[in-house]
Amino acid sequence: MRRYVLRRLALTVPTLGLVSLIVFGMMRLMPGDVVTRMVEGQAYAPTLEALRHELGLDRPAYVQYLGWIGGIVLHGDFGNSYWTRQPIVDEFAHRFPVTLELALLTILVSVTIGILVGIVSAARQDSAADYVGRVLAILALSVPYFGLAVLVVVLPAIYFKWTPVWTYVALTSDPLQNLKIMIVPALVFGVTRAGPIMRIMRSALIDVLRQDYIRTAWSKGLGERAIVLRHALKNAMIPVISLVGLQLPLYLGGSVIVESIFRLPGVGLFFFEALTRLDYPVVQSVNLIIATLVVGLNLAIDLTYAFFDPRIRYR
Amino acid sequence: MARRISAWLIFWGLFVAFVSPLSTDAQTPRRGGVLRIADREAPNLDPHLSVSFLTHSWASMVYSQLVRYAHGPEQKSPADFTIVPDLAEKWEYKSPTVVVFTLRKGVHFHNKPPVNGREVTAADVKYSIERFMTKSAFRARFDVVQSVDVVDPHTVQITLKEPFAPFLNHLAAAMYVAILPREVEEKFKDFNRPEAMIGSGPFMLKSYQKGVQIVFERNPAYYERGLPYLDGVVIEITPDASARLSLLRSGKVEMGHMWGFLSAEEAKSVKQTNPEMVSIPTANLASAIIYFRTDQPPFNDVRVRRAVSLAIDRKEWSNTILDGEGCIDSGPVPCALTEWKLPASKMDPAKAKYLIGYDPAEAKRLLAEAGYPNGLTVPMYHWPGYIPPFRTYYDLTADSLSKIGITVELKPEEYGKYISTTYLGKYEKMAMGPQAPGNEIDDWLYSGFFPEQPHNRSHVADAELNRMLIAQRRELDHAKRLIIVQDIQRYLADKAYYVYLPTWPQHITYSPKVKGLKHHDGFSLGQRLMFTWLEP
Amino acid sequence: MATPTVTRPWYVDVWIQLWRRKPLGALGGAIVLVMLAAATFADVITVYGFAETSLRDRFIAASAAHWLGTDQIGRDVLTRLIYGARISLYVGFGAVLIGCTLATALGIVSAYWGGRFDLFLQRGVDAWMAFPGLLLLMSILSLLGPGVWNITIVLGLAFGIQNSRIIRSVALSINEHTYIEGARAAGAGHVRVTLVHILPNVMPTIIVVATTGLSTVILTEAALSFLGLGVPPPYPTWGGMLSLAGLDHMYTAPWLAIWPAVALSLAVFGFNMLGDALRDLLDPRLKGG
Repeated sequence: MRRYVLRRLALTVPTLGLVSLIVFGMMRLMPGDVVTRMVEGQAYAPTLEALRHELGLDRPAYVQYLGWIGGIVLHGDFGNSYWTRQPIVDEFAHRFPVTLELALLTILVSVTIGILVGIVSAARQDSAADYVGRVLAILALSVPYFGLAVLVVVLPAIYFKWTPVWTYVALTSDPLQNLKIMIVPALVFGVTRAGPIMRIMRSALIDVLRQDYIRTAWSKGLGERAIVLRHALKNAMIPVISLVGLQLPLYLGGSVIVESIFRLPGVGLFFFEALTRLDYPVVQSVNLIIATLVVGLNLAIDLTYAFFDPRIRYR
Repeated sequence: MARRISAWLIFWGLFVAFVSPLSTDAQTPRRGGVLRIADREAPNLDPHLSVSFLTHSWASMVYSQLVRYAHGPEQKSPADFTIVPDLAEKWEYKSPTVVVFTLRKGVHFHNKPPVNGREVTAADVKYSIERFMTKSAFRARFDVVQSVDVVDPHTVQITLKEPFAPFLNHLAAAMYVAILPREVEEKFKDFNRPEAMIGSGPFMLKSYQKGVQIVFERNPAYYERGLPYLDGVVIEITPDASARLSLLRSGKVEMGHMWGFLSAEEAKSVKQTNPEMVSIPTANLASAIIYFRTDQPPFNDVRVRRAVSLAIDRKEWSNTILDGEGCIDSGPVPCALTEWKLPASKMDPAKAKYLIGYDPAEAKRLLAEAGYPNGLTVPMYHWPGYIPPFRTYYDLTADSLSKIGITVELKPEEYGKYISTTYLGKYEKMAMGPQAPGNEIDDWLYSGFFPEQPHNRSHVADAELNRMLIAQRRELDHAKRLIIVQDIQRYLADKAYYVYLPTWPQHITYSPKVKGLKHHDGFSLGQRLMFTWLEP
Repeated sequence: MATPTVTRPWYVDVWIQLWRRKPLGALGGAIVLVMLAAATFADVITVYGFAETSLRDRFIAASAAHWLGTDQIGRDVLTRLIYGARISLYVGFGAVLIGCTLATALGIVSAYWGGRFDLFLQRGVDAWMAFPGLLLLMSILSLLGPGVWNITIVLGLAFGIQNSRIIRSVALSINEHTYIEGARAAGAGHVRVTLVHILPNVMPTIIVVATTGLSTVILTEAALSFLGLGVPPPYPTWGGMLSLAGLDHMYTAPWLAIWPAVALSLAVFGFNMLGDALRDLLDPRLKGG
């Protein structure tokens, strides 16, 4: 076990190195030219050349890459945005807590709903409750969540002249107001993410309930609730945890639409705008930071497997 | 008898004295109040380092210019680009290439470190213009400037390389020259930080919470006594359009986009839920155009281009898509630029029909004559992200052209690619998009038709036209210039270098509490809000 | 006299069982069948063309001539939905098929071989998954160029690599079961063990993943349309109809967004119900008794 942990940790560095190379390359594959994009077609060739030089884009690709990576590794400097000329890390530090809070609240909502409905559905397979649960789960994941978010903002304004869109305040300055602001987007986002969790939970739990050691427990006379909660659930949780881990980049980066509609100054919107504007340094550095977090989290999740299913050994 | 008459007189006198202030109450500006607007965020704050109109709108709150356009009670129409004094109280052409500006005395920058409220001088003007000419992506507009000289602390002399009629207009445009204090750049390296937003304009920056809101407060020492009326302006940063409308409907903001710019559909919907809203249709300047590679087949043949123009039933489009509010005669000079426009009705009908006419039979005949009796297939590059009715126009155009035998292959492009290639004229055969916005007639003519200009997307290279384009640029006398501009329009009528589609109006919509707001087609937010006040 | 029992092959038996025992699944199957038929025979069953404009008939909500109404330039919504089914189902099916194959292959192989191979492969997957999907899609698509086939491949690739994790975790837990070791001890080769023992046990999860993935793929196409990277014209797509015409005219003509959303939900519902039922019926332990 310990050897496994050490090996995994050692491999994080090359993994992240690979991430940095890929994101650097991908940004250069994106359609359009950064400098032309910045001036939106207003300028002539000499102006563009000057801008290109100012941003260091006339250097060969590998020099630009090394400059970027070198800055991070040697000075902890993640670079400046091409647009605002301000340090990226400052902006990120302001925005990340917002997205993180949204992600955590969303995970809370989606996992709670998903697991509860999934358990009921699995325990009462093929009953009315199962059908209702499954139909709701499907509906939740087939409604485009930008549609849902738009509806939540548009319909109350039309019918009640009221809107759940407020000016953001940080958790640290006014916790109550902050939670009031965050709970609506978390619910909207969370409900749509609950569908896949519910289905995986149901499928995994059904699988586990059919297995030999469960039958043994039945025959020993243990009550249903004890069986489900104590024995089956632990093993059924494995793919669920895997799913949440898998969806993490979605929560962290995919919250663009929710952030945009509910006016939350998060990383999602920051990243998306940088992407469409071809703000290379922002996309590269933010991606790398998030990748580090995701890789770390996945490692933690993998290690959690061992706790839930001691029969899994790592060779 | 006399007593009854005097009683009546006294009664009427009192009545008038009481009632008239009430009836003209709406016209008398009141001091106070904070105006709230919902809009997107400017990508940065430095007016020279950004070409975004959002940046320039925000900057216009805080900075002054040498001269500006008429706003508020001064303006005759939204497209009134009359030059009025701002920091310069008067100016004079010493010769066709030398202009001398006399600055107002006693105008001060905002009282914030490191500037600390010192007086604005000619040195600041020189510094600002030179910085613009070094850093801004728009600097080619000032290529004609040879030098900016400080004659004395309140007099600036600008020398041009040749006579240039658009010059004053460019100085008045919010996109180009804001007057900045040099100490700020020395301290902060550029004007991107909130602390660096120090100017001499009607409002001062109070606070900026990135991604959330920017707050401006009244400049108590603004040189225009009594202005602005508002105590402050808050822009609530809201990236999503439907969220902005929701904020407007629920009364959380008074204006739903920065200039209250709603589409016809949005305005209708807002008026349904909030009938008290003020909504004024205002003609757009820029329209949608179809442009061609006139330097390659098949569109190097004017007959093929004319056929495309004749295939579009502009009247029908305006009556249906635009609810009859469209302007059909939209090019090459915009409908709203009435000062310069020569209406198609005043042109030779034989030529004008290629500008606004609808005749599919004639179009087919022209195609056959040009060598395409069985029609042809062409691509149409475009960005699908422009909001309606743009999006509608793409499909409609393809449909209209199919009826005369031209099969259009729609080629949507991603924005980054579009703005780097198609928008700049690098595309195959045919494309559609908006005209670039402009304030001066020169923008609509020279930039669109002179060779090598970034907005000459149709690759026009017409020697006769070039002669006229240069002539109008150099003609400082307005009446003489107007004649040249009208000649250009007559000349272009049947060339179909571009095909112009009906322009639609925006519906300027805002809360009834907002008074004195007059839409202006320039990008200055500060100058229009200077004259705006709030009724409780 | 005892009636002789007839043994039917499992792939026939499944459908009969579906009809008898899983009504919801059968309903799902029926929906899927109707949609596929409509998409295939679109040319025959539609009255209007999908690009047929009629400026005088714009924004009709519903009428005898236009059952689901018309859009902003008078095109019939029902016709566009039926043609839209072609692309959406084609891309959806295709991407899910590619993705599931990839996910299964990666997941099972990684779990089965284990050791350093698993370690390195999973780090590669980690690297891939650390990217927000949009960045990946946009950059790869701009490299390959737009087109139905390219979009299907890219969506399938992304979907497959992401979901390989789930397959792998299930395969890992199966790996440790005694009957696997038993089979190996009995001399079964790797391929046989994989195909006969591991794959069937992973199948239920694969089916759930596949059916869940369909909606993700179609919705991603909607987001891509919005950016100008979606399936290029002329055929309409549900995603394009939703995110372009639907959002543009949501105040004037909400039905332009509602109908594609309903079509999408119905398709996803049908596939998921069918998938669930098949999964339940094919579960070997259930069959094994």
